[in-house]
Amino acid sequence: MGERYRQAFSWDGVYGRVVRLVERVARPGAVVDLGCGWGAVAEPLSELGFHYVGLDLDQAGLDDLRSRGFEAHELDLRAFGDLTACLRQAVGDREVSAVLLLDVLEHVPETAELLSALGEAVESLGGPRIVLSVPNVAHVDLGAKLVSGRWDVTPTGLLDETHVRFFTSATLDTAMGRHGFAEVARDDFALHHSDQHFPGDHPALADAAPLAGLLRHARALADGHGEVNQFVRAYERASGAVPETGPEPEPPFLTVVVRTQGSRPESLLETLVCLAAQTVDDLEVLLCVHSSHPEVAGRVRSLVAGFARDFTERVEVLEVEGGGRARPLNAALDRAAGRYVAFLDDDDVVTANWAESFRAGVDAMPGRVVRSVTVDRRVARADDPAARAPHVSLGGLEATHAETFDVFEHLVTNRTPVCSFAVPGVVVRELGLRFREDMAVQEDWDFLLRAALLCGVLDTRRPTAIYHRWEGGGASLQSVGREVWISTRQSILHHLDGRPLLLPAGHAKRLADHVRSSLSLGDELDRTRQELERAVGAMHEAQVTAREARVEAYERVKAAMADRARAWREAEHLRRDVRRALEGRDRAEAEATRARVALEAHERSKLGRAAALARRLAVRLRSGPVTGRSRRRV
Amino acid sequence: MTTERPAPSVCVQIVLFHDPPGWVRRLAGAVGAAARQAIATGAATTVELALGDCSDDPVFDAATAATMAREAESLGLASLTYEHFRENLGSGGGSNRLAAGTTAEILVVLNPDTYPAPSLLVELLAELTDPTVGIAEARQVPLEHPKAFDLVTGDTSWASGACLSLRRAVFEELGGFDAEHFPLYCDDVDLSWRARLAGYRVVHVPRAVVFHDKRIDLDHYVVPATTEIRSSTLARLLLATRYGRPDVVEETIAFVRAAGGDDHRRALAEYRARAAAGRLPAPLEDAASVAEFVGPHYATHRF
Repeated sequence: MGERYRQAFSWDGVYGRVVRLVERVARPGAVVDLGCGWGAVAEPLSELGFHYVGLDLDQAGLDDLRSRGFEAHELDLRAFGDLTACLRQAVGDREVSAVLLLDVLEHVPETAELLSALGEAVESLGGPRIVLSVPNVAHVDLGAKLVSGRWDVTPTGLLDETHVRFFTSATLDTAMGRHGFAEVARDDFALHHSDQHFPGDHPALADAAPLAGLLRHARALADGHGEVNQFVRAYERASGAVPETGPEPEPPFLTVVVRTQGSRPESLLETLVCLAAQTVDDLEVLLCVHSSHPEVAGRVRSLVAGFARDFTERVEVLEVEGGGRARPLNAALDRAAGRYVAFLDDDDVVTANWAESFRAGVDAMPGRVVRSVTVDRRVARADDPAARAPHVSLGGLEATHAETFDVFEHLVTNRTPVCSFAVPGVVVRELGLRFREDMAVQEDWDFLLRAALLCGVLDTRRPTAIYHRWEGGGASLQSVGREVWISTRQSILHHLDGRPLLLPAGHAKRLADHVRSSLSLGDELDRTRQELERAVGAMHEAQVTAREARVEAYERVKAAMADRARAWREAEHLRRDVRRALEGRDRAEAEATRARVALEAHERSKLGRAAALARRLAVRLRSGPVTGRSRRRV
Repeated sequence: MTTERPAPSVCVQIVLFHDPPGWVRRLAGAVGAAARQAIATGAATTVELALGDCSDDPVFDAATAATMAREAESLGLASLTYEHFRENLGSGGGSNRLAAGTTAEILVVLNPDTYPAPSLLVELLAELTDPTVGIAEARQVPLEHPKAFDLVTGDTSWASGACLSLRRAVFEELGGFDAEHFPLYCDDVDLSWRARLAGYRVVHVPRAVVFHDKRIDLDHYVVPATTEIRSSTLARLLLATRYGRPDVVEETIAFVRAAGGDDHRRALAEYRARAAAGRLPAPLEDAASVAEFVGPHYATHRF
């Protein structure tokens, strides 16, 4: 080893974490640093009261340590055959509380031999804790670089040119576990950008690039160690023999997760009969009884126990407490062993080829989400308490759901009930795909979308599942308000928008078609708007014309009224003449009446002379200004 | 059980025709599970399973049949017998042959493309304790039969042969299935109507659940088998003849002439040949009182 490994101690770095971990897990005593190099942790450990002992083959490091006042011994780690004796010689009778293996494992080709020797040494030293640090070759930067065709070995760092062994979290766990070491604590050292983050502008690495975003998202799904630069972990030697794991049983093709609350056993019975009668019997059933009274769960268990053994031995009943609709599904996913996983609610029924059509789809395109077609049937619970049927079908089968899967359509609404798709088990087990437990409804839509965007979808186009639409409520559709549906939909999209959107091949054109059609809709809208504006303009003109016409008519009416008023005034003298004439006539009539009265009186007394006189008077009166009426009366 | 009578012995009989042996063995296990429940609840004393094989080549060789017979007890069955008929007797004819070979009090006729629920026998047997019930029929899942039934009494026009049960005494009183006229289709309709003519009730038992392997095509109809048109058209003509409905015969012939395909015409030709040979079923007295010809069906359909 040379100067290049002479690194300064920092509490924020790997060595700081090592020291804190030693402090957490080790009793006071000696700390033996195997392959100590320049012994960067010597001072801080010593300050914490530990007695530091450095062991290495490299003299420069040992000399440096001694010059700093620390105990240092020569040790060839490749000669681990006598590791116990070497250690014993170095530490004598002192109690050893911890053995450090800092950046050592990746330099030793014989991992198994070293760990085996270490195990023996640890036992003979009375069980000190092991604290190690190992670089992570599954850092997302290295994955992104492999995707870009790069494997850049460097003098130091994740791909140090002297590394001969490479570890991920899982392979480190396996190696340590196999030699009887059980982890007691960890304080892994993470770097968002490792020393391998070059060239930094590469779209697989640059934070702002969608490709890098996608790779980081995929890496984050796999485990939580994508940004771990160094694993910093503490172990103890486990007591007892190392458990030998036998060969794993062959996993079934399909895990069927059935969710029930045990509240409708008649429906559950039908679901189970449908599963027992599948043409593909290479399946396991995980029957989740969710938040039910133990008595109810007991009834579900005895319902299952009634079936033939070749079915019951493939059914596992899980009792799941608490949480919402997603909780039992996730509890089942934690144990799903099948190559694919499918779901049924306890009122779904399926045809005998339900599982078979999934398998045909998997055979055709392994790795895709396989989707069949669901048809709907309306059913109702029998109202009459004397009814012998617990529920009755109200109609035939209805084709409500889309025959094929369309990503864009499914971003807007769910066209795939939970009973009609199967997802690859690897996505569940390796990429941690689970149902979102914070969603009150539509958790299946969210789950399907995320699986579909990762895996793509193969449509079998076979109707194999029947979804029951209950009349008079009972299903989630009826019992949840519309605003909850809308907010969950927004939540699904918000969630998906946290990362780049991955679309299957062929979708650029489809997207373009969609956009074009919405653009052409926009054009059409523009045209319509222009036409509308023209029409509105014409209407305005017409209104102006009408208003003018109205004003003109008003003026005319006004003039006519003025004319009439003038004519009225002008006719005043005529009316006066008429009035006078009438007054004259009235006077004449009165006079005539008086005369007639006088005449009659006179005639009654002096008939002859008076009559003659009256006649003369009458003749004189007739020549005066009298009316016709007066004349006729005479 | 409300009755004082001892629980009956039961024979479940299945007529095979080119069925996959693995499937039939699974079905035998399911019948065994239903038998265990029936015996455990006191609904039956013993349950035997009789398989009759109409296939050209036997579904099971002698060694397998012997193995299955030995396994009967472990499945919950009193016995499991297998007989290769060496001729195609039809489903009705096969059932008649199997019924003649048992002394069990109750017969359960089951199609090979079914899978009984564990509670199937318990529910059917409970129904048959009522002496007015002649035939008790199970409910098929996932595609239940659309024919109407009385929600309270269960009374229905006819019982589907996919899964029906009756006392052997009633079966014998009726003379069993009419395999001559109805070798494939409507043997169940005919048996049901003769039972009703004899004064028995035919009831649907919704809690008696049996899976029946029906598929759905893309138009969301049940997929019909290819032979269904010819056989079912002939069966319709023969049913209408036996049950005093010459009008239905006329109407069917008119339909075949106007709109029928090859299969329809073959059925009509066979009907005429039978008529010429004097091999039509004789009309039954009062038959029209039980026969229900509703459109193309033999019962009012709910949907």
